[in-house]
Amino acid sequence: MKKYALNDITLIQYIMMIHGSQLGFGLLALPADLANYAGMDGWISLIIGWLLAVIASLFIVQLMKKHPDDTVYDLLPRYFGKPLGAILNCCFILYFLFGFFITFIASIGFFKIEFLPNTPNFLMVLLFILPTYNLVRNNVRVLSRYAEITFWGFLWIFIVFMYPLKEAHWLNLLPVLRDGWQPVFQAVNTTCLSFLGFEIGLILHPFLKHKEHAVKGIVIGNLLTLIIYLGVILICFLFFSPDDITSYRFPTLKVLKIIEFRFMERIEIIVLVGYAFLIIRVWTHYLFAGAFGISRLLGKQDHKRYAAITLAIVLILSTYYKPSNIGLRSMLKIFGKLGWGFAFALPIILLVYTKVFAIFRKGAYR
Amino acid sequence: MGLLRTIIRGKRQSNTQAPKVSKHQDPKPLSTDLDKNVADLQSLLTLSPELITRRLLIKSTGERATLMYLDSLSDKMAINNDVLRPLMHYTVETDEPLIEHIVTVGCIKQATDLAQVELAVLEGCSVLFVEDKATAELFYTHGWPQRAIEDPQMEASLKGAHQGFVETDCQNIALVRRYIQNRELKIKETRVGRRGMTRISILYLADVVNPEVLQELSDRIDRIDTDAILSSGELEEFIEDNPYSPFPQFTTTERPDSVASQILQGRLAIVIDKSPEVLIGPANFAMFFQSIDDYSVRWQVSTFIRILRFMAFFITIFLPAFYIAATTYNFEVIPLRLLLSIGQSRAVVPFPPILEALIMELTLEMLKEAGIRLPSPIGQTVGIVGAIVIGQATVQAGFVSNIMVIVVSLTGLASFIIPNNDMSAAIRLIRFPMMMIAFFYGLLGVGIGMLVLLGHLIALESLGTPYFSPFSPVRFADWKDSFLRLPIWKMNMRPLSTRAVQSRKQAPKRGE
Repeated sequence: MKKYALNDITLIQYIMMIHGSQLGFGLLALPADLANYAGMDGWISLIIGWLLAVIASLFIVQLMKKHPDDTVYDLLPRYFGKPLGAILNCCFILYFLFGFFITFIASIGFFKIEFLPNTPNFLMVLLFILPTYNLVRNNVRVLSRYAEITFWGFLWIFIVFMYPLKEAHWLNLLPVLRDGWQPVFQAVNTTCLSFLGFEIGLILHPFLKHKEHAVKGIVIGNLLTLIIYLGVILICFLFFSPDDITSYRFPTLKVLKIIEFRFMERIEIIVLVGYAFLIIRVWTHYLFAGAFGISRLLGKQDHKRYAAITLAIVLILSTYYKPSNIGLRSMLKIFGKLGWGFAFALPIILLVYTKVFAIFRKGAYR
Repeated sequence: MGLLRTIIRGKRQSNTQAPKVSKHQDPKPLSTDLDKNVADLQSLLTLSPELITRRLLIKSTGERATLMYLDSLSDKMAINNDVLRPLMHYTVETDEPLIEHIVTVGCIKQATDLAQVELAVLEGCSVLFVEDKATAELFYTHGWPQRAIEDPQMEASLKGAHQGFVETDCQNIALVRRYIQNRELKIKETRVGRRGMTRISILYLADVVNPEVLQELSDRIDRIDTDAILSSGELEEFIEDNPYSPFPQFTTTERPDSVASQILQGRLAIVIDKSPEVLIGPANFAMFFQSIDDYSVRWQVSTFIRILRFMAFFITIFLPAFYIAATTYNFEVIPLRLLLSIGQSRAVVPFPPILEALIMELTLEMLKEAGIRLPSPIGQTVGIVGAIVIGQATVQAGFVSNIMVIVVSLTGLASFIIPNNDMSAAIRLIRFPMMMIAFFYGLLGVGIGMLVLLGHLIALESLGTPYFSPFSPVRFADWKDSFLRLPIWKMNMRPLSTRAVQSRKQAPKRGE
């Protein structure tokens, strides 16, 4: 029954994979978005968003606990029967693949603007497909190793971020809750979505070696993300004035632009290259989850082929279709809505369903 | 890639389908007729003029016998003094005068099968057929041309031993045994190759090494079906995990002390007869940046040198790429003053940076290759030519810029300080695709190239153990002996990457 035994990951790798799937685009856009909605109280929204994400994560772990050797793709047919389960699995696959597509395209658009504005879109896609396929064709174990080493290897980015703190204005944060709770709650929608990624726990759970630590793992993973987001947001808030910050699309980058060492001007170029190492985790994890789902759906062992097909489709697509900024934003919004459904609501519904299922089918239930 | 894979796979499959001759030859028992046995062996080894057939009478028993051996492969002194003389002249005072009691050769074996006899003779044994007996006596009287033990050529050492491996496996095993005089040092011997029948010995510590790793290795060796294994590199290609990787997945060494040290860590050493290089696996990435001398100098010094080597790794791969990226796309990362001087020196150069870099890097490779293959008296001229080509003359000719010359010399220098030749060759190769990607995509391309490299290293395995081990999966305990070299009395455990079953190797206290 232990299908994934040869592929188990340690607790710390599990943590890093959860954390790695979360730490994505939010790092750049979050400060401006939060400032837009909640002003300088955005950090409170962030913490609330984190709390919600942790609650949803806990539901996921509870859901997975009953059948420790099942991914969500095995779980759904188990509860809903083959045909309905397959349809639900398709939904999950599409959700993950959409998550992959949107983060992939959005990040490429971002890197294109920052580095190579004149390069054709499909060449950029080709460039990013190389490392993505190189990673995603491996199993969970390799992905988790990557998540782990990049976390340790790129901690220096956050040290670089500390540098602008010498020009911090701590008064920016005061007064707390100047406009009351209303804007804070409004911003929670945005913050929750920057924590999206923990739903990878639906796939990862059977791979975890010591399943009793799953709760600890998923909470710590979320916590790491919170700490990093919180740090970045605070630095941005302290550095820019409350009115200034909303005028930038990516304040996180603007903060870095002021850093200049004698031996290296424009350190943000280097930081951005490092950021590519981190953000690739988000879409590779999503792509892995999707391709893995397809392989489970078709009853095949190897997910490599489906990942390759997906990437090829994306490459072909990118030659004909280049989403505009507005298109990207609306797609991100759609993904956000889907995220509410798949990552937050669905685990809870499923858990309730399984409880009911268990009560009604006490005897027959295996 | 797919096409390549199918071609290679196809070839491999046809290989496995071919019948195995040597390993499962039809047993052909010896007969009791002396003359028939001799004739049979002679018919197997026709057109071998060095096959000696010596008929004789055993003095103790009065039986007729025939001694056969290949003259070129045998130690004639041993045959004359220890086999022929006792057989023909001495009598032994025992009830049953067995051959063992007469012949004064150390190792004697019996064979009942003609194939066994044939193989033994081809190896240099002398075989004695005795009248009315269906068994043949094999005397181990080998003697073949061999080289004396010398200082290792490729891995010179300042403080370590000055004995290097030679082309005879038993000598090499002896050299290793001198370091590990322990009954747990086991040797698993197999033969590979239908024609070569190369003897391959796996050396390991039975109570330390992980049995799964050992099993994996010997399975892989058993699966080889080829004519002959001529060198360690050939064997390596047959048994490595990822045949498409540019990185070496086994370390090779010609130093018995490094082999002993690796065996003590819980690794396996593969001694190949006729090859002066010993393979060591499972290997990990950090091993290729270590040398046995690291353990005999002060640990601070050795840590410094190891960090230097890792820097050299990055310089070799990324410096030319960074140069191209910075001069083609990302001027802004270079400080203004440096940028000005680069611009000044590049102003006269007609080529784009990529072409400039390719010309110079290829020249460097050519110089290196020329230096290796040329006989040493002519080899010295290469140095002079090199100094002209990668030097002031090319700059003055307006061919390349000053900065490029510095970049090329630095990459060359950096690649040469990596102690392992395979690794150094691998990274020197990787820098070319890196340069191309830098040309197309600038600094972001270099970053992505690094990412691909990292992803590849992480996914790579050696004998089923992670190749990039102390770094990924992150094992901080193993970092003591990776790019650092902490004091030896701190390294109480064997590295986790070897998956050794006995992990403690010394008491946690330093002797005082």
